[in-house]
Amino acid sequence: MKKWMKCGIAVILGFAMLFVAVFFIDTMKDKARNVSTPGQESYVAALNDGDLREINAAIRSIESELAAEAESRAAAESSAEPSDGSSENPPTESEPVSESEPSTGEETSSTPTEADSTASEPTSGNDALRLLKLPLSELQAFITDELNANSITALSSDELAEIRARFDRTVFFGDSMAQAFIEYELIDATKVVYKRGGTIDTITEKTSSVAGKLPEKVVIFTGLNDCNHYMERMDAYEADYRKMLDEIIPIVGASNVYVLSLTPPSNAFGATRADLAQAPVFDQRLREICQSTGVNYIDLYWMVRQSRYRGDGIHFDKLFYQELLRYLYVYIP
Amino acid sequence: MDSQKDKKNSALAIRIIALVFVTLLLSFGILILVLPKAEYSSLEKRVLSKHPALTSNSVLSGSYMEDVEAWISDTFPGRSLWVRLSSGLRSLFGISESDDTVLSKDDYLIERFTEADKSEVQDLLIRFLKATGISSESSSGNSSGSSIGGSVDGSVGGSVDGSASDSVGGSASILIVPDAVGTIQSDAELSSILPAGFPTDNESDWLEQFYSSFKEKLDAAGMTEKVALIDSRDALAAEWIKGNQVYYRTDHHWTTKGAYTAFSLWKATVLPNEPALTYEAHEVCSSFYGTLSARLPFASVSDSVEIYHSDKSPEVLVNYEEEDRITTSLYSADGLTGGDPYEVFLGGNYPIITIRTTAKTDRKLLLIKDSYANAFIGFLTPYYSEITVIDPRYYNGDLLLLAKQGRFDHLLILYNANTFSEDSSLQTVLEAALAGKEEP
Amino acid sequence: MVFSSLVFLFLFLPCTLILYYLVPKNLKNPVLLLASLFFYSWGEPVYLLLMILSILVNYAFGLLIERSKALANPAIKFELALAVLWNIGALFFFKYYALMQDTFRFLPVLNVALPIGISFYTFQALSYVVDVYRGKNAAQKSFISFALYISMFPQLIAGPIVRYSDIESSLSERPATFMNFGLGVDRFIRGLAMKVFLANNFGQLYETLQTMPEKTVLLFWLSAIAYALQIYFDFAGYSEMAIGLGSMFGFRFPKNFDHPYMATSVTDFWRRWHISLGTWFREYVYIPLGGNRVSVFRHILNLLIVWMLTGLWHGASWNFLLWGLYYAILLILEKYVFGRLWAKVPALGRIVTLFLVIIGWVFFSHTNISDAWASISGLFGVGAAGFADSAVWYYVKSYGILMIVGITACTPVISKGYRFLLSKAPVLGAVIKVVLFILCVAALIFESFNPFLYFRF
Repeated sequence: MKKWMKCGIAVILGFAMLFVAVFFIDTMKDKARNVSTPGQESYVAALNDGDLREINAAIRSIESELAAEAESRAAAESSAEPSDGSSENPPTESEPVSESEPSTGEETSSTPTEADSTASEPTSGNDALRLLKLPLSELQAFITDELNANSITALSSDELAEIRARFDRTVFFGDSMAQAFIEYELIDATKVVYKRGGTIDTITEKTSSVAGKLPEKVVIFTGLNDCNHYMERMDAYEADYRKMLDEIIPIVGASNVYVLSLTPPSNAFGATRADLAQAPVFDQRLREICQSTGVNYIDLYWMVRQSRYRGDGIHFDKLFYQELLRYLYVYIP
Repeated sequence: MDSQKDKKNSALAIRIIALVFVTLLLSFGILILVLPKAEYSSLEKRVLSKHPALTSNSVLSGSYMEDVEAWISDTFPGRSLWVRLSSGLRSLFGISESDDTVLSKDDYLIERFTEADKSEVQDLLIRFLKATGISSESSSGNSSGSSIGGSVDGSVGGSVDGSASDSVGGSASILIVPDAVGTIQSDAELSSILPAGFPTDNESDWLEQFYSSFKEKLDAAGMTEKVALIDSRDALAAEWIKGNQVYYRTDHHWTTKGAYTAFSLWKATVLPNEPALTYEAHEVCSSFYGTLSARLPFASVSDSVEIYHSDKSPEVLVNYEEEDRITTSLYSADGLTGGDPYEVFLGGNYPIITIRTTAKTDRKLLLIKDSYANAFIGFLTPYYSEITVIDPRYYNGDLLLLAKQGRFDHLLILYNANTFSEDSSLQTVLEAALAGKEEP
Repeated sequence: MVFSSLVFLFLFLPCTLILYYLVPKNLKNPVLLLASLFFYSWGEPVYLLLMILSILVNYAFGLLIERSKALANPAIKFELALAVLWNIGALFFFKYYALMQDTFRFLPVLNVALPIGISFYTFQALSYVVDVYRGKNAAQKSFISFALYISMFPQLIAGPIVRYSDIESSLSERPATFMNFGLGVDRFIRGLAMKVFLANNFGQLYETLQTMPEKTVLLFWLSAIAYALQIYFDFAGYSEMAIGLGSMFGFRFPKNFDHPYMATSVTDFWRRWHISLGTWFREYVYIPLGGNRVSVFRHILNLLIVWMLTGLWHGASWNFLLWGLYYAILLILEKYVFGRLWAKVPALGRIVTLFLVIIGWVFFSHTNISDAWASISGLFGVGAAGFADSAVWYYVKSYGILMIVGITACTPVISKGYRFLLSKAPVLGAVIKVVLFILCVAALIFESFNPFLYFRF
């Protein structure tokens, strides 16, 4: 073989070996980058071994401890102060609740007038929460009157804060009916799990999100998508709904699950859609499901008024939701 | 005779060159066609180009050809090796800079700073703070007056007394942390670390100017007592001079020591009466090559990543709100082993994370941050029962609504100067939150 | 496609070489032609048609003129004029229309893109047609051979401008030896290294320096020198690669650069820089105008015309015209005033020439004339913020070694030294060259390296 070929091949082989060696070393070095020893990894893994439920319980108990401490401190302070005249927790429940006057127009957020409550010193928080302290039947009557008169008292900021505090560990679950709570800025988005346009089978996919929020109560609010999806398949609807409940119930316990009615469409809209007009039939089945599984069913049909529908004839407006929240606040312990 | 031999030698050399050349061309050509193509470069931390689609349109416009060129060079066999070779050669020649990063003394890779005008963000922040109720005395329901550095800050009173306030509690703090370059520039003793004359804007001066102009605006708005501006340059520089590593050498983040240093400073201003915890350091990675190491791959040394642990730290529940995931620790094992060990802190960046702790208090914190804060949060948990962490780069919600609904006691804005200067998402999120919401 | 790309080096070139050396002799030209057309269309898919059209037209004219010559047809002048018109017209339209429109605003705005290589292949075609007219060579009968002459990929994009007569014989007969092939490889690697290591890096330095806010005198000088080095190594590197590639296929292209920065006078400079262009302008413009065998006044006019055209050829912008004019004046002065001085003191001549050339490049680099003027006056301290600042020293330190290498590479030292090494220690020399090639490939890959900092951050 010619000399230059021999030399050339030697050079080629030399380079090839060099390249392979360097490549090998480089890959090894790459693998050694950004790695942790098993000891280090297990240290971090161990940090994550905590028990979700235990910690959650611990947090809750500390919260209640602190709340109790604060209350007793507040009580101690108030008993130490004579000059206040009537005490801060006056029996506002005993005041005649004037139901007919506060006729603020729609959509304004002025506080309910206190002019009608009795003339004791307006200690701020309590009069504003007056509605929330009503017994359920009285509140229901109040709401019915307001709905009939078509003049709704908007939620005051105090009421809203109180409601939010009450539902702090509640998750609202459903479709666009539940989403409305966020839209109307009534409930924080982190407490609502929804699937827009969802039907029972697609909503069921999100039950793990509900679980992930470690709620104490779950409120389920679904709408008319099911009427369309399960049209003439009532048994499938029931089966799927039960499946969904099977996933929700273990999270909070059946008694902590609250299912809201499947509300009907507006008369005008329902006249054009035979499927949606079946809503009451679905709702009836829903009641049965709730009864047999032990979850709570909350009837909303008494609240339905044509004037409270939004343009699409399916969803309700902000004031409706506000009344709804008041109702739920009192209804749900 | 000599000249004959010389000629023969030259001819020999030329022939060898030609032979090797052709072999190289052929062998790499075959390798390119035959080898499976890599899809992701861990060195560059990006997805590599794919085989482009062959359509008449793409060919006529020439984009197909460009894409093929990009694809071939992205998936060239042994790519990272070649890159390291070239990077090494460049630094041999003295070109120790690449991609805005320069190799400095003590093997530090330092990124240059480009200043930007952030006065709009300052104005937005002031409007935002006003809208959340910090400035005005009246609307704040937290009568326990959690103003800064002042009275009973540690009071548990918070907002449990039923005062239905719709606002962030009394105070806020802004902590813009200097990057390595800023800390170096702030202290004469450290200035020799950066190569002489390395062109960069002065981050230390920019930070100073930012703080002083912000202070003026706060004074004008009457919010000085409620909003603290925390300048950590001196503290960090002092630690560095002492010999403690406050920044990683190959990453743009600070070390846990650096985070702790800044935290101590912050705590002294915002929570002076609270007891401090003692921590011990646990190393969780000894071979950390950070983001900057990719820019100068030849010149990289490894660092160690530490977690500071205290027995007195509370238990936590970390809820990654939009991921539907809850963990029981701020430190993520997946983050640690996922190719970027810095992600052991919180697992990376997420739009919104809610942390609940077993701390015996009902104070709540709203933290608006970038990735620097991930190493900082561990120090906050003993003092707050709830911390909501927002990263504006990913967060799409209404920040104002969140701030008001959450009834926070304190709002902390924690960024590193470089990201704060470059990134516009904080501005976007603030603008969106304030759109049409303010009272005149 | 460009020579300094991975696709060219590892896909196009090996395939073409293999194919070329496998096929029998009578298919070699078609193979090379096809490869060249593919090469061209890779970078310029649409204007391939224009080039093919130009080839057809010139081929036809070549045959026509030759026949008219043989028949002593008086229409020959007319035919020549048409051919010239076609070529110059196409060049003018595609290259200079935008400039005309910009200057004479009444012209309609047309979005004309500049097809790659048109300046080069047009000049080659012109040289062919005129030489046929002059009888310097016969017309090429084989269309394929002619097309190959015009479009051959080694010199298509960036020269050198090869006169038809120089390679006429090679088109039909070119013996290939491994030795010639190897010399081609050697040259190619040299050109690649010039482009990748020197030109690209100096280009980067120049770009960075241009963005610096504070401009000191040292910065202006560093900038100017970086540009001068960049443009030399870029252009010369390409030419070396082109000549090397030509050799690999058996063609011998003339040398295009001969250590221009070693020139002892401006006249000498232009005998060393872009030699093929200078030759072309001399042959086809200067000499037809009368060259220097005319009155002094006419001679000066000739020089002015030739150099303004040379300047304008380099780019479609008025600063290039100025650049050409600049050299015209210098050459005239040298011819009639200074010339003998340089011959007496070559060292002085070198320094002054270099100085003048660098200043010339400043004109060349800024299309905006006021920018150019600012840069030039900055060299002398006007409008500069002091002599130097720490930032400039930083760049001097960073690029210092490279600059020294670059400046040394402007002299024959490296090539002579390497030739010596090859003759004494051939294997070592070969290894060094191969290593150089490998480093070039690494640099090319590095250019595409793009770490993304904020992925998941």
